[in-house]
Amino acid sequence: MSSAPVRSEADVHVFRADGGTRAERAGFWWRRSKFWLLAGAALVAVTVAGLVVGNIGGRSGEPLSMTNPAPEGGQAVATVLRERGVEVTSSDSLEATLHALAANGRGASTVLVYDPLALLQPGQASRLAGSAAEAGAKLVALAPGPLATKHLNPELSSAGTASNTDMPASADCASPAAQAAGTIDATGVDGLGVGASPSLQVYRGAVTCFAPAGSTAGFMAANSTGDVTVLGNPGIVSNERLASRGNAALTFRLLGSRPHLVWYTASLKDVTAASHPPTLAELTPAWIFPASGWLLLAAVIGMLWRGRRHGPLVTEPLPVIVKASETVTGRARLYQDANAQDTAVHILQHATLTRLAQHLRLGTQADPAAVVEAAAARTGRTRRDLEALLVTDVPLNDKQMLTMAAELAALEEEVAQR
Amino acid sequence: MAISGRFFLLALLAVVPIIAVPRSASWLLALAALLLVLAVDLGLAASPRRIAVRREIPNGVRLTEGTTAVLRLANESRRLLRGQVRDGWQPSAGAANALQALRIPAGERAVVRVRLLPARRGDLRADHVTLRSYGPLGMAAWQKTIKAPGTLRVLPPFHSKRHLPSKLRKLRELDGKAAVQIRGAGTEFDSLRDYVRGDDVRSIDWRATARRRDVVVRTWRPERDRRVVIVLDTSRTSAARIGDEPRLDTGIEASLLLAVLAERGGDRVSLIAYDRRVRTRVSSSGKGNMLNAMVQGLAPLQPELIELDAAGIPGQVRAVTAHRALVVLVTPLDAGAAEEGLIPLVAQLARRHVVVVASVRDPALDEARLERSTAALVYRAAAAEHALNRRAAITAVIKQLGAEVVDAPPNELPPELADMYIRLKAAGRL
Repeated sequence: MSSAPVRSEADVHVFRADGGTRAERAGFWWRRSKFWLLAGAALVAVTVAGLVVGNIGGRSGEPLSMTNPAPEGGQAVATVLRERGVEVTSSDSLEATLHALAANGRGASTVLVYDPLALLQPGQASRLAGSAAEAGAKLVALAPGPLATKHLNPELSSAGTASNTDMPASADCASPAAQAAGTIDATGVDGLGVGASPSLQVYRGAVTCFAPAGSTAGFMAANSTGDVTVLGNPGIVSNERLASRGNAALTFRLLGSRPHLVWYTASLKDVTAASHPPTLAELTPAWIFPASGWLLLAAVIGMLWRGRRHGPLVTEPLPVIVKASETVTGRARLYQDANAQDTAVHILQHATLTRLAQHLRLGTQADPAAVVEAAAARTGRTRRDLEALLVTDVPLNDKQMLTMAAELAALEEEVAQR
Repeated sequence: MAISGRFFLLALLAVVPIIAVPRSASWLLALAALLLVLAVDLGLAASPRRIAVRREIPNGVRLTEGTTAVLRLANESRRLLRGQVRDGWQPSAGAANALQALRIPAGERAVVRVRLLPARRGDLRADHVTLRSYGPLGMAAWQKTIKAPGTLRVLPPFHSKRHLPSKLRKLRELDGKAAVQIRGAGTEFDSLRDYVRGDDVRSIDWRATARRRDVVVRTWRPERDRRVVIVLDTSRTSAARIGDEPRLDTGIEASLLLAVLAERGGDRVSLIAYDRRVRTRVSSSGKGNMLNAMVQGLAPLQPELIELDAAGIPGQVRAVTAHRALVVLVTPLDAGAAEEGLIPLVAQLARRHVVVVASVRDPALDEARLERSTAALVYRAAAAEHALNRRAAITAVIKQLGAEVVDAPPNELPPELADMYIRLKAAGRL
């Protein structure tokens, strides 16, 4: 340790933390972080506003939901029916549907069943059909699967699928609702059913209506009493197609004939517990989620502990560092890229001549011929060899260049040793 | 604000009650407990704002030597300060224990010593002092960074000092002070003294001998009070690194050795560091310790990335001395820059002054020219020969102009420049 003199106590400055009162510090802090605080607040506000606007009025994005105003939604039907005095209630489980049926009283209900994911088990379909019959309710099923169709009413059966056509399907049957409608669309709506361009279901029953050309099965089938109806094209109920052809007439006659409509869309709530494997949550102990959540928090605390620096970094002004021999390396690369063996050897020859002239005491301005002469005399080699090596020879490739470079070095050493 | 490892451990331990009673209430309870501990500890911690900091930094330290910077902290709050202090030195200051534990009772003071081992020459900065004050539980701390600027001047190492004794001996031999069996060299008549056996018979003063009955010899001594002006080039070419250090650092070493030697030799030394303007000017004409003034002046020099204004140098030399002087130009001899600036400059200076050009020679060139085992190496050897050739040509031109050239590898440049000075002095050319 050196004992260099230390500045005297008098001229040592006392440093203190800056900022005066608490209010001044708060003001400084506000000025410094104003932008970020305001930007963060604006971001939060925009996000919240977006969420609120997106969910205003309890909208739903589900297909054929009675609160979905999108083309594939069913809000139009529900709204019109409500305006006409039909009490429309939504249901997303079988239990709720049965409960609503019982509450509405005998012969006062229509049940719309829509099960796009085919979640209803045959047993559940029979149970719904049984309860509907018991309550004297009308049942309208939108595109049920073959098994469900059978269990809704044994008189009805699925007859496969029909392709989309722009041609309308006409009633051609005894059902008054169908006759009132006249024709309906035979085109599916994107987002309803399976796939982007869903195929349409056709059915047979006691009454079969709207058969596509050349088919005995139709888009609508009903049992003999007309209590259970299946519709093969759910698109006619959608917002997009309701106004087209006789869609609206058919829909409102089917759904609006009773004072109550239960709008039942099958959901995961209808899946019975026994029918799926136990979830991860059921297999793990109860403490695992709270504990791992806490450990996550502890990890954040650990990061804050290790990540907090003791004050800002002090910068180091770095000097420019260039190796002086870089230019030589660059020049060597240029020679190599240009395959300039002749130039390279010429430089080496010149350098050797200069040094030989010094060794042989011929002066710096000596003539090459004189140097060759003197070197020949000193080494005993022939003049012609030396002249070729030192003056006239030009290499044609790298190998010759290497040989000449080595010979030049050897010659210099030979002259220097003698 | 900062938290400690203890707080982290506490947070980890809190997972035990959460496992025991896995309910959201216990989760929230644990969170509340943590926040409470945090608030209590922070509330009871001393405020680092109430700490006064004083710095004491040594005036200068040689590179490669260690030193100690002192921080004096006064606790002006009414609570015990437990915590840590970190002295914010720049990395090359080599602060070994910049972060230290601290415990200052209320109203008392403490001294923190920070050991420094600088790794670079120049002015090294300390920006701030960061204080961390923990509460009695040691869980959480207030942290405050106090601006406390300070500078440590790191002086050039002057490794070439080791050549000084031998060069001074040579100088004394010239002076005739040392007992040597040679005629005192130099051209200035000093005195007459009696002949002793072994004296050169050529120095016998026959006229004085005739007047006295004994044989008398003349003694000579070199001229004194000559001017030596060292011009140190700090332009872009001085940034190039040769061996382990930039050209500028080698130039500083050589300048220091020459300056000390010339001052002991009785000459007046001036040093100018110049690129387009004067970076440092030190003259020995003033009173005081010349070497100290020089190292202080040379310490903060850094290569500037601008071209040397060679035309301005004669004016600077004239400003230092109106008389004939030995002008030592410490500058590279490379082609390009030299042809445009150096040669006209030397031509102009050599008319009035004795000029020596001192240049660092790159030993890599001399190695590269002998490596001829592969094609790539032969090209490199040719490039090296080319560079050396250009250098030799410039050297020859400068010598033709009547100036001297010292062209040596980094570690040999200082002694060779000193030898050149001694040779010129012996020849009476100053």
